[in-house]
Amino acid sequence: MTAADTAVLPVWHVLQGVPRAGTDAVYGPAGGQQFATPRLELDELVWSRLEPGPAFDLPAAEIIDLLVATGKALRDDTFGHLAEARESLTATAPHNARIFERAYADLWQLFDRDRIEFQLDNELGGAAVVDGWVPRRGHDGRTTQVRAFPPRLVHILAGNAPGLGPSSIVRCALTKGVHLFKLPSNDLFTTTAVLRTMAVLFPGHPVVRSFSAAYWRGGDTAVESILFRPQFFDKLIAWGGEATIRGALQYIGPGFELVSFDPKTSISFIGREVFGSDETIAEAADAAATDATLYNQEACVSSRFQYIEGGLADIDRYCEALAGRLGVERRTASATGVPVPVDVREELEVLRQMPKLYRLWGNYDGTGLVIRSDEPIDLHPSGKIVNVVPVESLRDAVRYADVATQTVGVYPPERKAEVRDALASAGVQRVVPLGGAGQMAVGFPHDGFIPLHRFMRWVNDEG
Amino acid sequence: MTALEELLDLTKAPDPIRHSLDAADLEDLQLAAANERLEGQRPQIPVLDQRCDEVGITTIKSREDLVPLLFSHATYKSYPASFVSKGQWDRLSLWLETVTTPKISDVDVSDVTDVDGWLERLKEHGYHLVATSGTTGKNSFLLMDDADVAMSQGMSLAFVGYPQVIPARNDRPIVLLVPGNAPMRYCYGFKAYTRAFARPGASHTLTDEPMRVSDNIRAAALRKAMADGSITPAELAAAGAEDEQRRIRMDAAIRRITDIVLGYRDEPQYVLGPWSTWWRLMELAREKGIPDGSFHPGTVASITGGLKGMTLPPDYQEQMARFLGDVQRPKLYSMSEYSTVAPMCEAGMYHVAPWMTLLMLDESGERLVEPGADGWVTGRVAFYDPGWQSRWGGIVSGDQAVASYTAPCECGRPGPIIQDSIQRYSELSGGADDKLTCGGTIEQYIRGVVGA
Repeated sequence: MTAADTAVLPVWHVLQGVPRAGTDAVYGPAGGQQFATPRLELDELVWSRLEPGPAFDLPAAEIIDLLVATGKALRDDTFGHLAEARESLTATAPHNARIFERAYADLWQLFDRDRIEFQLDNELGGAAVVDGWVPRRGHDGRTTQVRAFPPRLVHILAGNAPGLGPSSIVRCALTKGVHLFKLPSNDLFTTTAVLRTMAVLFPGHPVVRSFSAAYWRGGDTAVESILFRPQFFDKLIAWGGEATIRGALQYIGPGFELVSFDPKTSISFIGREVFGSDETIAEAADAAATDATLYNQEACVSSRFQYIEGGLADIDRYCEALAGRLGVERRTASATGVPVPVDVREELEVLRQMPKLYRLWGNYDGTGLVIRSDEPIDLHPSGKIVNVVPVESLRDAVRYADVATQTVGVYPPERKAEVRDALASAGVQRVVPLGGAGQMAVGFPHDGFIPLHRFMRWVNDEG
Repeated sequence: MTALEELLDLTKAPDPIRHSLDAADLEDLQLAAANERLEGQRPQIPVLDQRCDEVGITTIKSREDLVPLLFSHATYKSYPASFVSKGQWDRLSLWLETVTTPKISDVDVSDVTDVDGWLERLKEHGYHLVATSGTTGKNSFLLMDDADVAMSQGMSLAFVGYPQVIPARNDRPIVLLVPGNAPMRYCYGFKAYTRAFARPGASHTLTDEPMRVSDNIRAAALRKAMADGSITPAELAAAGAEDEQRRIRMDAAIRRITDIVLGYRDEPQYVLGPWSTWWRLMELAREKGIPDGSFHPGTVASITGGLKGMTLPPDYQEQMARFLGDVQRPKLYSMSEYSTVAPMCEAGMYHVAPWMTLLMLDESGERLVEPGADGWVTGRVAFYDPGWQSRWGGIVSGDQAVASYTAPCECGRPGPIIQDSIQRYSELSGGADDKLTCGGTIEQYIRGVVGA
């Protein structure tokens, strides 16, 4: 390893819209990849309750214009912030380099005008209710006016997909509220790169002043016991991370609410139609591989178990085709991911010794591995490992879905209707055509609720 | 005499650690013994055969060659949990066969109804299984044939009371502070201690009620029912009540055994058990007004294992030392998977027995780590253990330690030593992992039955 590889990575903080660099605090293992942040000044991170947030009364149209302009600057990376962030991010996870490259190239699309306007229309019914008070006559003849009032939110971001920070910025700007982002150690760079671009484009703008972002060690009571209070924030928005959610729970109480995007896992359902022809096998195998390898299988939407109808010989043909597609370079996957850890490999080798019960295809080198078994394996497949489990019928496979299951990809898509109610009843939140797990529908519910709606504070002026 | 016999003969010395073999000769002997074992076991242990093929090793020429042949300690619980939860005992036998030498699948298990029945059936055929429970409720199953049992009981006796050896004269009470009738490694050891040291009629255990592995499995089944959503509130409540009943029964048993131990306090006795029971015993003794330091100085008090998640006051060690007073407190480092313990000497170092090959690895357990200039090395502990006939002896532990192959010990005994600072890697990482992802599993949605 060269000296450059282990150089301490600088992490930016953003304090109410003002970017700050500094290397006062160093984190990470000695001898490993370390990073450094400016000293944490809590007073500069938060907004006083004694006055409204800077953007509370800005019209949504002006905010959308600002976001669209930000998108253009991100598309061209006018100030080089994205290139710098991508380089740092890649240093922390070199195997994902190509994924980051493509994800960064796409970031500007999150700031597309049609996309943002649809989000506002479909999640809040349009700008009127966030711009002002919307009157409605109640059943008793009284008129009540309602406003989706700007909230004060602290967000604990996840770092496994670079789009999360930027898409949160868009959603949060639409709320007009004030927002503190707690940066995850697996992506310390993307969110602040976007905020820095906004700060250069619109210095001192109320929307820009509505954002802070900082790193502190997750669970650090010296920070969290001070900040996680209704005196500063209305809600805590947590993206995954069981330990984080459990750690934050102690601060939840009257006036300080938890909005949790729970840690999730995803699966696939493949109907017997897959065996119609060699082409359909190839088509389904590629779609299934796309879903399984999303962010090299590090995301909640990445499929890990596939339940399939059919005879064993046919299913084995499918497994072979699938194994051949897991190592393909895609927009959301690199050809080779992280090699299978030794302990996992050892457990799989034991399964391989029971050929009547288990069959394995593929390699341990990070290019993908398929295990066929008549029951789901105990391991949590990650790093491009897929467990294919034969089932009598897709209806029968519903029993493998539970409250931790987020997305179910179904092949062929016509069969979604047959299982969606049962899946929803078991706890599932999203049913998609196989291959479509990574294409989250923007402006629609996420994790079982409508995020923008849930972020707002709904206030009445009753007549 | 084979190299293996020659090596295992070292166990018969009065102080096996204090051998007179030259380090290089000993290493040659260890490697020769490992090759004898490999030759015998490779054709019979499919997972070992597969590993040899994969890494291209047919003969072990050096310590380095042992490393890629090491198994993880998780190997012995690598069976799919559904084999147990669905009662697929033939499949569980088939699995066991992939990691051990005997042809277990020949044993008819078609009428077996639970895991204890499976263990019992295999025992009837000369296959003694010990179970170790993990935090996830999945048990490791370690097989011993009759030769293994005899060997391991011999090993158990090699270091009792170390470094002061207790004479085997059947002249003292011996008390085990855990259930004595369980498919656990210590029960085999306790039988050997009883035969060697116990005064007739003065061997006691916490209870003689058979401890059933099914109880542990029931906890796992409960977790599964929570995971798949089939649990009912009444079942959760019943499980909670059952836990409480068990706790009450256990406390009554500890009260009984406490009276027995205190009754013998004026004579040398040998008492062994885990921190949890020792701690309760001390509390009960204090309630009875027994002053600190009341035990006969010839008493051997062995406190085994770590705290296992128990919360004790910060000065718990000092409190226990005051309570026990001037007695023998032997300490040892061990793991159920190994045939032999590493006993602690007068100078506070754990000594590796000469038949065990210590391999200090990197954290991932894949490479040997060379000692620093001072001769010490920090890393993951692994041993090649030639003791077992029915299992491959190369096992990587879950422990981090500071060890030296060459540093002389103050006590003057030769051989590798390990400092008294061993920690489990699983407990080392600690703190919240900041690498947040949106991924998760149903395990994160399950809470314990009681409290929590």
